Amino acid sequence: MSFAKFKKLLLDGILLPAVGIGFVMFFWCILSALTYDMEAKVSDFPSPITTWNDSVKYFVHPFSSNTEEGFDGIGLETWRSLKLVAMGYGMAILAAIPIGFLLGGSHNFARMFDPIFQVLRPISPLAWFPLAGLIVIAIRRHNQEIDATQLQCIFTIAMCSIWPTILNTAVGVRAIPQDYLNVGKVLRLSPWKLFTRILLPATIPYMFTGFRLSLGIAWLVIVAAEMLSGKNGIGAFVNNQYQSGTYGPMIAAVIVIGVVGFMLDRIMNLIEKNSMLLLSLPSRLGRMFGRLSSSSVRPSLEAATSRMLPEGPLLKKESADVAT
Amino acid sequence: MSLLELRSVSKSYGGRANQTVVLNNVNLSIEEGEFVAIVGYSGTGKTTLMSILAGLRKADVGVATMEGVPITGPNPQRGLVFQNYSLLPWLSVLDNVLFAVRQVFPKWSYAQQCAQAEKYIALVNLTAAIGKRPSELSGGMRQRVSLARTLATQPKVLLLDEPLSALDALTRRTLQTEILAICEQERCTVCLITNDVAEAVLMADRVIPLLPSAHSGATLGEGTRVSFLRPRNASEVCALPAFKQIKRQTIERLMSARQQSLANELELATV
Repeated sequence: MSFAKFKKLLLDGILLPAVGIGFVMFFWCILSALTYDMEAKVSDFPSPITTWNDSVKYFVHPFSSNTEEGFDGIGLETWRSLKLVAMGYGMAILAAIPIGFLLGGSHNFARMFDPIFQVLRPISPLAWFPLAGLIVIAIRRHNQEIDATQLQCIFTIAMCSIWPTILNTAVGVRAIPQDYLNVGKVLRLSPWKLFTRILLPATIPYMFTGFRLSLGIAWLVIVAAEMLSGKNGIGAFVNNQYQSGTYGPMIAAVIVIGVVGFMLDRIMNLIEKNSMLLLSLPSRLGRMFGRLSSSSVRPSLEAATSRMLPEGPLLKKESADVAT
Repeated sequence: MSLLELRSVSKSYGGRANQTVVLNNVNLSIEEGEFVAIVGYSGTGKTTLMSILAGLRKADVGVATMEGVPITGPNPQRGLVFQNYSLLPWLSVLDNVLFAVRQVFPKWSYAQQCAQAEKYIALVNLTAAIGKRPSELSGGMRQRVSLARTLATQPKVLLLDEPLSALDALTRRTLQTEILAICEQERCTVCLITNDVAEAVLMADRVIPLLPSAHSGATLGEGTRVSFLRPRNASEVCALPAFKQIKRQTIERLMSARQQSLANELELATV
């Protein structure tokens, strides 16, 4: 790496973001100074240092549950939330892909359900939560073992995060160029091949955008849902700290929520950007195994380029040479 | 019996109220080994004509036949090269061609299919770019891949739907000579649709103008035979007096038909 490049990296990657963080810290300090309570000798809004001192015990062993002292590490709480998010989000995208394809591909389906989707989409997670509770009550009548609040959170996440994937998939299906479909027609692809080789790959970039937006929503919803359910997870942690008046750990948890959300978005962004690579993987793998299994001797390019064998029989002769 | 034939084909779009006739009483027959070029203004139904030949659209009236059998749908035997290349952007050059080869020759061994794909990629001089994606190629290179993909399926007739009209003039000229050379080597039967009269006269054995008319739809005019010897050399052919004459004649016929059609339209509008 050249020096100039290194300098640029240092500036863009470390120095400038550090200045930004410094600014925010500065305003945070001012805020806590402004909310200083003279009589109680504490700030209503804890300063960065107070926040750190109060919450450090949750960060020392983030993944251990300290049963003696009666609190769990912040990592453990986050992990519980992430597990629920994974389940709710997984359910959402599994349901959203076929629905999205129907919505984008079938005029009648779109006419039937699009208005309903438009009504359901803006409903807040806070409103879905009690509705999910009704379904959970019904399920629990058949199976008492199920953790009701977890299930309620999962349903809420699924209902709220399903929409971006449905809508983006539908947009992707509608945006497939007629040319691709004509290629499929001229080659007379079977419906299954048309779907797997043309429709699906052409839609995947849009689907991944939907996946990313859905995951962002799922992470927003989990915090709200856990605050309502109030048992486990990072959202409940924030709520409990708030109720018990320990604001330092609460602020720390809020920051953790932000950082985790940011990391999830980065990961999805990376996957989204490389979705093209993922798409070519099957054919690459196919070629690797195809070549291994068909014959160890592959036609050299010279043989392939040996010019212009106009008709079939000559070509077969050429491949016969290859096989020997 | 000719290889590809259209008999009194008509085609219109739209409902009864605002029906637009695009093609009217089109007759065409292409013999085996013949290179036919159809020239016309853009918007006169060239692509509609090609879709009917390819089987992507059905004629309202009349029949399209291949080797005497009516065309009911698309078939790889009529290899279509699209104006917009229509390569699949998530596949490499090789995979794009291989995709078509595997679809058309499913019984071949994998090595055979690969050899076929590589052979035709070499034919269009793209061996160096075999692993690249379409987005990494220039327009001319993309159209070559598209041509290789179609040729590799060994169609009985090659349908070129304005294959070069999206390219700049210089690339266009290069590709004209290349396609000409390939078609001469492979002895393809070709139907080329173009808006470039010089291109048509340079490449084809027969040049047919698609004459527009005001409200009754376009129809094919009488073809002009172009009997320059093959293999043709672009710069030599372009210098021939016969070339210039055929070119001028065709342009004049197209222009007079256009003026006639515009005049008719004006007349109808005033009435």
